[in-house]
Amino acid sequence: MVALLVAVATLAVALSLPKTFRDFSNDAAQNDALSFVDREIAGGNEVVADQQAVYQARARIPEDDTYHVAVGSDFPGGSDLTVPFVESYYRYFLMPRRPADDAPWIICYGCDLEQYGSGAKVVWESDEGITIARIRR
Amino acid sequence: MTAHALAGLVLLNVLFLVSGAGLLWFLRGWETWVDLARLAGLAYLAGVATVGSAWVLLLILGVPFSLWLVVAVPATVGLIGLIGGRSLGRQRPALGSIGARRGLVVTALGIAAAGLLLEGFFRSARLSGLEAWDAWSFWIPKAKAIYFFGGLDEQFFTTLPGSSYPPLVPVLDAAAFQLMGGVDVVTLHVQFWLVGVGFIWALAGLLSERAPGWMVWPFVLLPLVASRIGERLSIPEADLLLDYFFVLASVLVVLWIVDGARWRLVLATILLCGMVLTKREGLLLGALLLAAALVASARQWRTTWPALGVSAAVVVVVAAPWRIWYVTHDVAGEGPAEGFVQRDNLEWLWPSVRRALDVLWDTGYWNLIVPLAVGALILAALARVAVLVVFFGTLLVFLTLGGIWATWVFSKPWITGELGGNFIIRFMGSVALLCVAATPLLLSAVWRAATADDEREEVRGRVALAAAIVVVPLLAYPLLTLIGGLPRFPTRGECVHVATRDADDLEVVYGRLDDPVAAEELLGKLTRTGFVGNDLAPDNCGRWKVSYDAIATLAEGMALAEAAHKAGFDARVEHER
Repeated sequence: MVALLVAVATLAVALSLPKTFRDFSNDAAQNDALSFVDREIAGGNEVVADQQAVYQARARIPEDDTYHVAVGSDFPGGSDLTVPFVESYYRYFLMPRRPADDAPWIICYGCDLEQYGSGAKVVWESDEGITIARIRR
Repeated sequence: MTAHALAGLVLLNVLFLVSGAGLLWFLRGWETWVDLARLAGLAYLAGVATVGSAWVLLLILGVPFSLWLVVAVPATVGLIGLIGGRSLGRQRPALGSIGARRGLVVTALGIAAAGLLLEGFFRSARLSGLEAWDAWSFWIPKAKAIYFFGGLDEQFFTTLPGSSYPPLVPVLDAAAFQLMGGVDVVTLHVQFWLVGVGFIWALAGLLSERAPGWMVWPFVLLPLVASRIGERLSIPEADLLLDYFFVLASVLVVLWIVDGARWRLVLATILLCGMVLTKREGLLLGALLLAAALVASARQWRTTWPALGVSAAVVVVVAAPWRIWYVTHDVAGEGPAEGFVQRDNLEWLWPSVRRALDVLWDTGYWNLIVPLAVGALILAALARVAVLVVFFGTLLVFLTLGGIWATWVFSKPWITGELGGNFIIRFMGSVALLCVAATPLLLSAVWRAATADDEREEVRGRVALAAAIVVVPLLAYPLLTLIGGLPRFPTRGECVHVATRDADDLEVVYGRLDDPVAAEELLGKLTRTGFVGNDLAPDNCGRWKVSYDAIATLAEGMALAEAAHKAGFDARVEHER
């Protein structure tokens, strides 16, 4: 019986090996074929709606400054994951920049920029309805 | 993604190995270098647990996390091990011999197969983007916070999801960032792959003390081909690291009960400390492990229970500071929000039982690991292999009950088997890996009881054959892969394709800039100088490219670039692809 259980385990490994090798060869090929941007954004590709938005935010907001991600609940772009999770993704991607409610930088996903008053100056906007604004207080 | 980052990771992991090897020299000594090689994986993971726990405790005390700390802690642990070992009169290891037994060839086959699989996992890990949800949602942000701000930054550590989760994994990530020279979340996958390699090595090394190679290797290989384990080997999350610590601690504890070697319990205690600082489930797993040990060692309770009590006390002392930190920072606790016993939700209890057992028996997740372990347990029970059966049987029952309870109070059973929504799939990973370790131990005990297996017969020429079996495929696979081209280290420069021949995708590129404002300024300056019709657009590498693409031939592009040079601009003819 001992030998039988070991034989079953050996057989299970042997039968699974080809698929396992095939799977990680495919994974390696897919990872290798990714563009630099797709690889860098990775999990955020389903979330951020526009890759340029995160790069624009990272390039324009100084590392020691703060930002706020404002998301309109009816933001039409992106995926189902965008509205609930885009703020989380920016928090990961933009560190060491800190999120803050009263931040001078607004990353706006279909939000109402007027609520920030006339001091909000749009520095970048995309066709997807994403805007980066700087607030002068 | 750079060779420098990979070299930094190698250094970090050598530090873990050296510190763990020093520690084991202190605890048990190294009789031979062969002995050290066999247990190198265990030494490495002991180093990860010891050094990681020390980093966590120092961070909680407010010591800034710096490159100096990253290097000093493992060096100190290793040094303490060496000095402690010397003071105990430990001898330098002798060379030792791997022998030329019949089982050597089987062991060589096992090492070769595991090595090939791990090489394959390395290929896919090296260029992985950070796809795992929890990784970018909170594990890596916590690591970045430690790296950028030098400690447990209050803003991030109190507001990120999973705020009460202990920070051992983020600390390990932050240490990797320090030695990689930056936040390289792509290469970080290799760190987790290395920990996986360490675990496979540690498990095989420990099991081979008690079981012959033909019993050990099929079960050591099984998790690598089980989808829920093998495919997640390099994901930068805490689940598998917790499982590794738990499984090795379990094996060490049961072997300590069997042979009384005290170093095993000390090492298990170190791994238990790592567990309670890795994930909140570590508290539950640790408690269940110690409870199973109490049951299995009840016959020798006068000697074993006090030792287990000391072990538990040490773990509590190590676990406490993190819990004090988050309580004093107003972070919600690790327990279920609606209480540990939810009498109002008793109707969810039976569905929770179903859910837990369904997951445990799902061969799609764990291949045949669990049914084979149950078979081994029954065989061992019939053969009256008392301690091993009682320990593993009790622990598996406790773990299953723990998984049912956790599903009942945390996840709610109506939530489907989706990983993100249901705690039980992650939790049962520890059960499956425990089964991997338990089965060869149980089977070998049955085998020893039934046969007088003598593997000591020396067979001439076996060492050379075994060496060839290991070395040839492990070298051949990467060499065959390299025939397709040298390894790539992608950088932002990969978007630059300098033109050397005529093509229909030529363009003159005036610059690729990280700053879009600077790119706009360059565009304006070009226009004012008379170079009109240019585009400003993002390239595929996260930079902004200023270019002119109305180029018919390479010669035309070269002429334009030459004119731009004379006007003081950088310019180059490239392919647009």
